Amino acid sequence: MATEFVPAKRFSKVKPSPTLAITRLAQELKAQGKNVIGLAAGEPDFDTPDLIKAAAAEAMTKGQTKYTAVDGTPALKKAIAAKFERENGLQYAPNQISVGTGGKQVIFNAIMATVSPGDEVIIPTPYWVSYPDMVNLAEGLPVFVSTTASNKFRMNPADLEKAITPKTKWLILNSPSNPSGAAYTRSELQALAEVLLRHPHVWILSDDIYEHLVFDDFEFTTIAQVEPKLYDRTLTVNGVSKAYSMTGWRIGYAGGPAPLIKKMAEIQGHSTSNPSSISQAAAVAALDGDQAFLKDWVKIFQERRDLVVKLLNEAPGISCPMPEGAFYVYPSCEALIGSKTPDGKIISTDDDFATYLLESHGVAVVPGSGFGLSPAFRISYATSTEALRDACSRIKTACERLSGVASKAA
Amino acid sequence: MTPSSSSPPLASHVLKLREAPAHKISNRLKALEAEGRTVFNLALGELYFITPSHITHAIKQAVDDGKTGYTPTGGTDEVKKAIIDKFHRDNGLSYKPDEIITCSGSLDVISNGIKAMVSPGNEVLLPVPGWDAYGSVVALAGGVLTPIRTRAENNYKMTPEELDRAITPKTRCLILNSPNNPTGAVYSKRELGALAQVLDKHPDVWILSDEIYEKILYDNNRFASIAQVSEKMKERTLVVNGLSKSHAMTGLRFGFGAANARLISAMKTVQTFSAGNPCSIIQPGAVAALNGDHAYLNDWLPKLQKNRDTVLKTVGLFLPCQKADGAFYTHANIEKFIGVDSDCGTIETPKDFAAHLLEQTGVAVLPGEAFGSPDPTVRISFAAKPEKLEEACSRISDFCLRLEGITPVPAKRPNVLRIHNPLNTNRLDC
Repeated sequence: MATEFVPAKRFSKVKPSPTLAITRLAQELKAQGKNVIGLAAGEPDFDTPDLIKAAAAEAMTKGQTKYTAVDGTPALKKAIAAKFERENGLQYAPNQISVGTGGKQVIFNAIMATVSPGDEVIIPTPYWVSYPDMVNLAEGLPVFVSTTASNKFRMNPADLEKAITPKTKWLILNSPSNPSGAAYTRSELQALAEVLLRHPHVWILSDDIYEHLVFDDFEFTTIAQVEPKLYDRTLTVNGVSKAYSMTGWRIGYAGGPAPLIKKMAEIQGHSTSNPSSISQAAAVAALDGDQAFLKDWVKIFQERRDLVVKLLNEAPGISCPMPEGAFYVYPSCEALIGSKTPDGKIISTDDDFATYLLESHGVAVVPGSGFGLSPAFRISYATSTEALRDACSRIKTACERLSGVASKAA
Repeated sequence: MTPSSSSPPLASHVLKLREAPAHKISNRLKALEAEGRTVFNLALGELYFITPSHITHAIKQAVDDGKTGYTPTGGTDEVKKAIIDKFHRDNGLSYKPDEIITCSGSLDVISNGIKAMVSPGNEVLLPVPGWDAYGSVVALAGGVLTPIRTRAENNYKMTPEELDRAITPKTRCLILNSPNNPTGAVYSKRELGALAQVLDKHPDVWILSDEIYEKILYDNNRFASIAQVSEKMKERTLVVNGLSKSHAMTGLRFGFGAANARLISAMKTVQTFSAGNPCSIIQPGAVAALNGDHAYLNDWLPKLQKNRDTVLKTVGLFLPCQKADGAFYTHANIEKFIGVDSDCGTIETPKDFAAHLLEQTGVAVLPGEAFGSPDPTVRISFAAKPEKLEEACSRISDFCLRLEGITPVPAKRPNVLRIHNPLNTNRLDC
């Protein structure tokens, strides 16, 4: 008889992805020939710019396929240091820079290096699904601090203060945020910094991956830049995935205190080792090269954002805040809870709403349950304007067909 | 902003990680090179060959085709199919897509596999000498690495008795590596069958079989995997492999694993929260590598065998060396030089031997401590270019001659020898 495989204890708190059910259903319907519009993408719908691709081709031709230094080539670290200086006014030496296989891995390494069983990590909601699961894998404890749509998904400094305990290791900040697109202003970060200055044992992990996707002339700032006194306990994480549409290439990086960076390198050395040598060469070209194309992308994303927010707010029962950045909106479907579908099913949760939208109207969105703030859903507008118009129109129809909808939330 | 020197709060299991001996040697090598010394890196596990052009071409094509977005975490359907075909073709093993995972290098497969299998307190058995990276991976998962000391008379291959004695109720996993780093030993199908008989008595023990050197074989040695021994063995084996060594793709980072679907699923969960999919432009390169022509190996392998023989004919005159049946390392015993003085001081350990050798000759090899070796040994990699290897080997030979009290002749050796001057004042800055 085959030996049953029982996974290690670290998986006990890791929940199966709530988006998986929706994704599977979407794939099944597509396979059946149904016209499904997928709004779940976590990546831009543009191709990697040509100058970056050219750098990759050149690296291949030059035979740069050998091992590199574990946490990044000197050339890439130099480009990253220049970026931090140029764009964020932050100085990091090469031994304060870590390059990993995606920003996600950089965060994972930092968590693995520092979180012992029972350590607490503060995560504001709504959050990117990976943060609490990384903490769970390290057998730490995610501590959630709620935000609200009415407060534009900003964490309240008083709520942060209440959440800090002697066991708190990290606060994870993600601005602009996945899934809400909300971004903290300089003064809002300063207010959070005031709290953190009062608790010197708390480290800050600032996930800035959506830095370049900000709209309406929003001024992006990062906490180590805003409050230099926090520099010694902040890990500033970023990457090339979103800004340069290099999600598949897998290059992320961070700047932080040298002893932490060293430990992260040791951990990385025992898993993936160096990030793909070709991707590293491409990333140098991305960071050092002409950034002009970014303005065009941002303009397109802003137009799509404006369109989607306008159209969604026309749907009965949907209330969609205007986000400052990223390529997501996080509308509330609170007013639809308790309503009934034409088939007679009750919408009790945002999972139900997402399933209804997909099954009856062929639109795939990600339910808010996976992001820790319900009832809501995330739409990614990293797709064509036509698809977005079509999708929003279908959502409006779907909402109109529900009976017993409460009046729109204020 | 002054650079920070503050110490971050480290996790308990991470505090146990030690700096790898390989790292120390590598750093010293770089320092010597920066000083202008000619150095020879025989400590590296990387072939000098260039990635075959059909693979390079496929990667460039992938870039052009815009394969730059996320792929499924464990790899595309296409790359999984290529792996399934490889297992069928090369090993007579049959796997389904949900029993396959691709990662950023074979070490990443091992890391994900150990995290999926090992809970704190679990024991993981490793025949030593063995690659030290396994120990760090196990430590990071909170496991306990238990070495199984193998013996020179068995070519450092673990015997069924040694395995039987080592298994305890806490044993979760056995790590097998064949062809072996550092010994170059290759387990035959019969030998694996005998190990399997022991494992049949312990059905809760899983096997991690690191087969990365599968294609690097000499003389008439044939590759065998424990997963081939029986269906029972296959069901609880995580087969680990990749393209780094066989296809000279070390820097590109592509490895793969095959196992029970639930184990693969747990590994994918770890991967989902860490590195994500292997680089999207490399995966098509992997497909080209796996499906493509392997004729280039007919060029590489004889060259490597010649390299192997170079080491045996030179260094082998001074040190008892294992004749590698596979991989690209010569495992040499330096016991005769323990207690002997070099210009850098007395050699007490293989670490000393390696350090003194590096200082005096610029040649880097890895000391046996890096592999938990039960005997005083060093590992000499013969993956370097032949010219470099020849020069490095003659320097190692000279070093050995000096240790034996004989001043080496600058011209080509080995026939003319002079008696060592006991008042040699050419002390090096060791």
